[in-house]
Amino acid sequence: MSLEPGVHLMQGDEAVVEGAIIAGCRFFAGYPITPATEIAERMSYRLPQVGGIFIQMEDELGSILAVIGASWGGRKSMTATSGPGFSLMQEGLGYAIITETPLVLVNVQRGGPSTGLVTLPSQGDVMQARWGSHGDYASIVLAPSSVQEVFDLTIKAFNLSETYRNPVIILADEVIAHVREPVKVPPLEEIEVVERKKPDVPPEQYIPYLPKKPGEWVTPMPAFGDGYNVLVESVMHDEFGHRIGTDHAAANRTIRRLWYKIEKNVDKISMYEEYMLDDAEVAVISYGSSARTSLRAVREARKLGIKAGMLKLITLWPFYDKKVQEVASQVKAIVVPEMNMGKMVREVERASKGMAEVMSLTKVGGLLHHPDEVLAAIKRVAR
Amino acid sequence: MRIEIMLSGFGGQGIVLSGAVLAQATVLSNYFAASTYTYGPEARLGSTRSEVVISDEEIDYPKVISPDFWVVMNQDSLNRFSKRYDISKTVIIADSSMIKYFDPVEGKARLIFKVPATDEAEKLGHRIVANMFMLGVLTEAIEIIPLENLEEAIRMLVKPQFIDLNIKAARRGREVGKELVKLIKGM
Repeated sequence: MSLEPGVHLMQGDEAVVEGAIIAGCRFFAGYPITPATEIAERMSYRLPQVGGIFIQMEDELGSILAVIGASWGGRKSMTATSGPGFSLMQEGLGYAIITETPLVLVNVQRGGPSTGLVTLPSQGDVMQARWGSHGDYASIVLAPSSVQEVFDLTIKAFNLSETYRNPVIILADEVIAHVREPVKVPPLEEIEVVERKKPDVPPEQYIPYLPKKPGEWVTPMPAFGDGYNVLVESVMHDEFGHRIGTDHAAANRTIRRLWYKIEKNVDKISMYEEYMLDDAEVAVISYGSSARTSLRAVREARKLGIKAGMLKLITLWPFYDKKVQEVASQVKAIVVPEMNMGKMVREVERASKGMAEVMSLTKVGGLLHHPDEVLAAIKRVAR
Repeated sequence: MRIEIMLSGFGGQGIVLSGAVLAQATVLSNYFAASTYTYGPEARLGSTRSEVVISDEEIDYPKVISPDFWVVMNQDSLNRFSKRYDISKTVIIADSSMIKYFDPVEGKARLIFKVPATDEAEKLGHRIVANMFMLGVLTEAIEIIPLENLEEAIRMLVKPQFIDLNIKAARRGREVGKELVKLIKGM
């Protein structure tokens, strides 16, 4: 049974599970790791209750590959991990990208590098989440900043992965994974759930990677056993799914299609929230749990008479240049607080094209920024 | 309205569970709650801290900035966090069975309420429920969580075989908490 409508107090990790079940997830393969363990733990008893399958794998290499297999078996599938496991999953992630396999991967960020700060939060993986696997591809990465958003975005992640036939990464962090907060679960009929599009032509007419018309990038996906011949393979393929070793033109088409199906739909994929930006002179651009601190600081700044506002990025990748440009054209300065050495700030700088001063506010060591630190930065650039 | 509460002790005293129960009781009382915890890689005896923010509106920053209430159950965390936080407006509820040396907070906090929680819990049946005794004292003092919601939260989150003992400790804590309420109101 999926969670009953109403208000539930949950940890972020638990909200992943409940959102996933409502989205139709019926397969999870993973390996426990702090601070994502509670996801596997809850999946282990919740999935069997709804007719799903939970497997504790031998490691993260196996986990993501099992998820790819289950997705090709026709089930909505996911895994969850943290930094060290996310690194191990990068090769499998690339496999999912070239085979256009829908899946959801939750990375609950903790401090790195390597084993790092096991129990403490970080936003150090934002770049790895975009391009951690080798080669050219585009990613969809969502960053929740509350338990409610974890719940909502998990459903959204499944919908996006089915729509674009691409892995979708939920980039949480230790604070959001472990904080307990009320989650409002709406009635099931009010929740949008996207189902996988299967071929509508007989097997002999099915061309696995050829979109129906120009401007379309995604093709329908059969499951194993449906009777369609598809080579699910990691070597570069053409539209027919045939291996191509040196066909430059076909490889060019395939790589560009993998890229365009995400980047050309940036308007549809990008989610963000605006706070007090209308008359703002200073904008804070923030994401994940940092956005909670930033909002507090912006409110404090307003009390002091500083015209501050916030743009919260929910979709990190693809990066929404247009929105950032719009904000940059309107304010005098932008502050970017991140629990890393300054990563998304580079994108903000690039997109804002010198229209506003951009200030990076870094934080490493496993702590959220203190609201006073963000407030001090706002004051500095407001002068 | 924003009430910031810190609960601290060592691993095994049920600090994380206390934070969860407090947050659940808060939500049952129709307030917003955000409850976080900080712990080390060790499973037992390292210092643990739960932070609970209560509000009548959605909570932005989910951590404690300067605590309104601080339930402290071991000497190490009393020493440590008294330096890290501004405690000038803090009501400290301290387990005097575990803490003997109050110099780090004496004269710095708004009020220090010393109560032998672990001894009280032992009298009730087991020292392990000292945490729920403390939650009883605390919730009496913050006044917005009725006892029945605290009891319901315990029923939701505590293992079935320990529910009765935990509720007994919470009720005893509520009684003792009445003295604290008088002290706060008398200030």
